[in-house]
This record gives sequence, structure tokens and C-alpha cells, in this order.
Amino acid sequence: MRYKIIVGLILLLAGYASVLAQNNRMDCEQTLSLATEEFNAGRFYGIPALLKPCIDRGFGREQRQRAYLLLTQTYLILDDPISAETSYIEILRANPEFETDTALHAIDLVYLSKKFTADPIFSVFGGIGLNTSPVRVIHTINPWGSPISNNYTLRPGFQFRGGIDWNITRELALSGEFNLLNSSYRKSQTRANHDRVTYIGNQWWMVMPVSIRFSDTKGKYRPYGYGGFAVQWLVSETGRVTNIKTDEIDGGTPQSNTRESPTLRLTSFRNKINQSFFVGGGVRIKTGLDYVFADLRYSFGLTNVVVPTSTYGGQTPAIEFGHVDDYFRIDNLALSVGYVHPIYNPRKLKRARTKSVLKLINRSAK
Amino acid sequence: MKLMKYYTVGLILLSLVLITCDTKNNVEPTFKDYFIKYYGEDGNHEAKDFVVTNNQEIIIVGTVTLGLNKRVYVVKADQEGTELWSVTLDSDSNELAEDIEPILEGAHAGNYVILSNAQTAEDVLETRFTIITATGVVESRHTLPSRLASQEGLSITPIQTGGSGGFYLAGRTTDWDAASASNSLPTPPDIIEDLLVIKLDQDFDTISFDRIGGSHTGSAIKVIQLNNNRFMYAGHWDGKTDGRLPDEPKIESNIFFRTFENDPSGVPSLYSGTLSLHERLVSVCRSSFGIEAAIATQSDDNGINRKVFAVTTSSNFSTVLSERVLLGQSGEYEAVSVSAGANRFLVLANEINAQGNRDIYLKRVDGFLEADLDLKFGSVNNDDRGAAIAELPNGDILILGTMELAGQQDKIALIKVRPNGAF
Repeated sequence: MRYKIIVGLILLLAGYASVLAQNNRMDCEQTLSLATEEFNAGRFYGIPALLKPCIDRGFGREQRQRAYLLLTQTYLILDDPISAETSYIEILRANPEFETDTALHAIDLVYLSKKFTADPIFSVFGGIGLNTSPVRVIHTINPWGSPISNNYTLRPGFQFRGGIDWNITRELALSGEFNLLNSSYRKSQTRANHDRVTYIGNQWWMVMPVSIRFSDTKGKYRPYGYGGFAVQWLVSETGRVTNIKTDEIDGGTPQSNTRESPTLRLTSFRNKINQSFFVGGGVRIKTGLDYVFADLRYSFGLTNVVVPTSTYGGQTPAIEFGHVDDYFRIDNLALSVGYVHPIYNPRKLKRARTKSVLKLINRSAK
Repeated sequence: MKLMKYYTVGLILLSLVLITCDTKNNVEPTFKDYFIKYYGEDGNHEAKDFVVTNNQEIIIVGTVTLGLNKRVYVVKADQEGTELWSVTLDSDSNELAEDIEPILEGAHAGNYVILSNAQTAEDVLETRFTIITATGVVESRHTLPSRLASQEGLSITPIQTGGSGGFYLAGRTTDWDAASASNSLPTPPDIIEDLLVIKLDQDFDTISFDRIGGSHTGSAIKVIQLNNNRFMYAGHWDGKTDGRLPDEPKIESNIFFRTFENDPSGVPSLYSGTLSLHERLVSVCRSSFGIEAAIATQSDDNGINRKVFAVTTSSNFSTVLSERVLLGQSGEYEAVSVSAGANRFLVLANEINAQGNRDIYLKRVDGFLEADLDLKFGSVNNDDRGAAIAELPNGDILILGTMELAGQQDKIALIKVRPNGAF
């Protein structure tokens, strides 16, 4: 009973606070309208004081942008550049993607805006997806005296991605990532007439890619492309060998006998540190100030995954199952979806980008 | 301009990346020179022996079992273990491969003789010889005329006579020896294994046929030609070790070496072994460094507590230099083969685990049986066993064996390792 009362009280207070905020915003909308009227009427001196209470407590994000825009314009007219700059910074804090437009805004505001930016220096992102790993054989190793036939087929895997972009320019970014990747491949070998040996390997990788990305910066859908280099640590590889022995006795019906190995750990037969080169592309879709993305990446394995001296040995799968690894590189095709959060940083530029505005001012002066 | 810089840096980085790429040319294909290679197709294949040709190709002989039939299987591989040809010998009965040797003299010089034993009826073995060329063509097959109900060839030795050549066959028979003058035991056992030493001409016609043993059990394992007209045959039997015949009852087998010129049935010249345990000879070899070696499986009366017993002798098997248990201080082992390298002997054995499965075990020893290399191949769950061993002129080691793969099939396995035992 007591809990019900407490919960009821909390809900009541929350409702009350919500109504109060709504009322505040409505009051402040009226204040903002009044301030705009004052501005249009040329009564500039009272505007900062008029807006201050709402700035301190009541504006929503969009209202704050409008309020500071009005204040910036006011201070410019009042010839108070310091306050104008402070107010402009606040516009960018309210909406980091705010940009002045010569068609909408006074030229002195446009000129001022060129001294500032809110472009994110860094963006963080994360994603998940599916992948598959084509095997590229460097050397086929035949454990059989007679010819064999190998066939590698694709198997699905999955991955988790996270990383950070360093936005060198609006278009160009340097990305560093950490991927946890599960991949799989299947090797089927036909030998000794009809015998078939299948190995399915499952690998866990920790991948650290670094890439340069070039992006489109306009519109809701922003395509991009990139290329880079990754250091990959093979955490583990486990697998199973299935032997299907088929004998044809005196031309009769072939008789098969299937044996499956227990799960084998082949990690010690693998080079732990590998490298890859990758290219990729995708599209970022703007959602508010953030993005969701869909990304397709192909990684070309550069290094032999197999420890060359591990092919044979006293306790290898070669001895127990007749399975021998080829020397191979492993590629990866990954499709990921994820979310990007730019870390906006409104700031004054060390070198203002005012050249184009000055040209415009000069042109209009002529 | 700025973008151009990025492209340049990117291209340099990409070039560096591509330089680090492992390719066919910069990944050393060590697997080509040192390997494990399997041979055989349908059926199960049991390795028995091999010869290494002058150009270091390998001819392997074994037995393939397909359904209820057993046949002799021959396969030739190059230095990298790649199969050059294989052939399964036709037979009207189950036939097991035993030995392969190069023929140095006579009508078949340059070819190879394969020794096999065919089971033509229950408890009846027939010894056969097959001449096969280096290219896998079966030139002729011969059957040793049957003098005894069961005569089993264990090794064949092509001999050099300075003319037409010929062969010595070593083996055993389990045929009852009622007529033997030396069968003097008061109550002889039902079946007594006797030694067979048979001399054959180049066409496999019998020149001399010696059954040796009387009331004792034993086998002749190998005849070795010491010089133009002097030979030695080695084996084991349970006759007294003091060299007197006829002999007294004794049940423990020992290794013996006997040198002879024409008559192998005389007195053994040298014994090795223990008084209370059996040493059954398995393999004997000569070396180029003046010491000879032989290995036997030592066991108690019940055939258990098996160990590898080795003996080395001075040149021409004249005196024992060293003799002792080489493998088996703990666990069970059975001897398989001994072969001489440039200055050491390679001893091949099977290590037997508690489940009864075997692993292939190599031990390299000097003339005084001091070891400098131990190697083991096999999996705990499968029955893997050795067959033959050889050292190549460059010191590399070739091991022939049978591997049970995936617990479902036996395959002939050829293993090639470096002189230090590594792949």
C-alpha cells in the first residue's frame, strides 16, 4: 500500500513537472515572439534582458537556436562583437549543424558565422553485421601420394564493430576501429578415389583496422568509400574433421563409412598476428544529428594464416585424421549496420573562412 | 594539391602493405621436402617394406585388404612423396607382402623382387616372388615349390655371385617335423616352428633347402651376404646358446647369428639375449662403419612385457659389442626394423599404449646403443605402426608405417624428416 502511494506521488510529480515545462515553453514562445517584434521595431536594447529568463530556464533546443540568433543579430547591430560571438557559439551549441544563408540572414551575420564551426573533430560509431570468409590458397598441401581435389566454400559469420573517426576535413576522415569477428570456412577434399574429408573451421578474430574515408557531406543519404589496413589477431580456431570413406568392393555398390572428429583446437597451428588490406563503402543516413549506416567491406588477407612448420608433426590432425592445412590467406566480406554519433564541438576557428563572404560584400558594394 | 598529397601517402602505404603480402614465392614450401604422405585408395593398406632407388625414389610394398580379399600392393613415389605409379598384384588367394629388394645381378638385374606369402588353404602358406620393374611392370611371378605344408618367407636376399646371381630366402615353417633327426624331445609340442633357409637361382628354382630347428622353435629372419661366397643368417630360436646340437630342452628364444658358405644348417656362431626372457629377432642390418646391428622383441613366456632388445656386433657379426633393452624400461614396445645410416643406426619400434593402440617410435643410436634422437608419430586413439626405416645420403630420414586414419581406415604412410627429426 505504502509503495503504491509513493509510486502514485512520483507519477503525480512527474506529470506536474511535465505540465510546468510545457507551460514554460509556451510562455517562452510568447517571449521569443515579443523579442522578435522588438527587434523588428528597432528596439534592440531591451531584447537581451527580455530573453534572459527563458534562456536561463525555459527554452527548448529549437527555441534556444532562434533566441541566440536574435541575440547575435541584436549584438551585431549594437556593435558588441564579443557578445555577438558568444551568442553565435550558443547557436551552434543548440544546433551544431546551423549554417547561415546569404538569402536568409544579414551579411554581417554570415560574415560572423564564417569565424565559427561546430564540425565534429571526432565521431564514434558502433555496429553489427554478418560476414563470410573466402579462403585464398597460397600453397596446396597434399597429404596423399595421389592427386586430390580441394574445394573451399563460404560459411556465414558475424561481427561487432566499434570505432572512432577523426574528421580531418568534412569529407575526409581517419578511422580507427576494433572489430570482434567470428568467421568460418569449409574445406572439402576428395581423395583416394571416392573418399571425402571435410573440415569446418571456426575462427575468432580481434581486428584493428585503420582507414581513410571519403564521404559525401550533403543530404539525408551520404555515400562514402574508404580503404585501409588492419592488424588481425587470431584469438582461436576450432574445427571438426569429417571423414567419409567410400570403398567399391569388386565393382559392387560403394559402401561408405563416416567418422566425425571431436572439436579440435587448431589455434596453435595458426599465425596469431595477421594483416589485411581492405576497401569498403556504404551510406550514412542522417537521423537528427546522428547517422545510421550500412557498410560493405572486403578485406584481403595478406599473410599466411598457417604456421608453416605445423603442417606435419607427431600430434597433428595429419596423423589422426589425414587432414592437412593448405597455406592460405583468408579474406573477409562483411556487411554491417550501425550508428554514428558525431561529437560536435562548437568553436571559433583559428583561421576564419571569410574570404568568400568578403568577395560577396565587395561585389554587392559595387 | 592537398588531395594529391593524400593520394601519394595512400599509394605509398598501399605499396608497403602489398610488399608484406605472403605469396607463393615468399612462403617457403617446407612441406615439399619433409612430409607425411598417405598411399592407397579403396580398402585398407598395410605397409611392409620399401626400397630407395639410386635417384632417391621410393618403392613401397604392402598389403591391401578390400572386403575379405588381401592382395600385394606396390606404389612408387618420388622424393617429394608424389605417387608415380601403383599396382595391385593379381592373386587367386589371400596374399600378404613381406619384403622388397633390388636385384643386382642375373637376368632380372635392375628390377626388384617382391616376397609375399599366399594362404592357399587353411594353415597352408605358399611363398611367392614377383619381379617388378622400376616403372611398375610386373615381369614375372614365381611360386616356391611346396615341400612343406606351411612355408613362410620372411625376407629375400638377392645375392651376387659374379655371374647369374640368385637369392637366399629366410623364413620359417610350422609343418610337423616328424622326420627330423634332431627331434629328440620326449614330448615335443604339436606345432614346432622351424627355420627355413633356401637358396634359389635367378629363375627361383631351388638350389638348396634347409629346414633347421629340430625339436626347437625358431625363425630365420634374414640372410646377409658378407662377401663373394660367405653369408650370415640371423634369427631366433630356443636352442641352447652354447652352440651344441642336438640340444637340451629350453623354452626361451634368443637371437643368433650364423655365418656359412654353403651349408646353413650347422652350429650358430654367435648368440645374444637373456636366459630368462624371449628375444625374437625382427630385423638385422649391416653398416658401412664396421658395426652390425639387430633388434628383437623381448617378452616373457606369455608374450607380454614387450621391450625392444638391441644388439650390436663387430664387423661380420663376429662378437657382441653391446646388447641391452633399448625401449621398454616403462611401457610396452615391439621391435619393427633396424637400418644403418652413415654413422648411426635407426631403430624403428612400436610403442603400445594401455588401450593396445600402437604409435611409431624412432630411436637413433650409435654402435654402442647410445641414443641421440627419439621421435614418435601416432595418435592415442588410433593404431599406428611402423614398417621400415632408412637414412638417405644427405642424412634425411624416411619412415614407412601404417596409420589408422579417423579410426576407420588403414593407410600406408611415408614420413620424411630432417636429420634432427624435424619436418
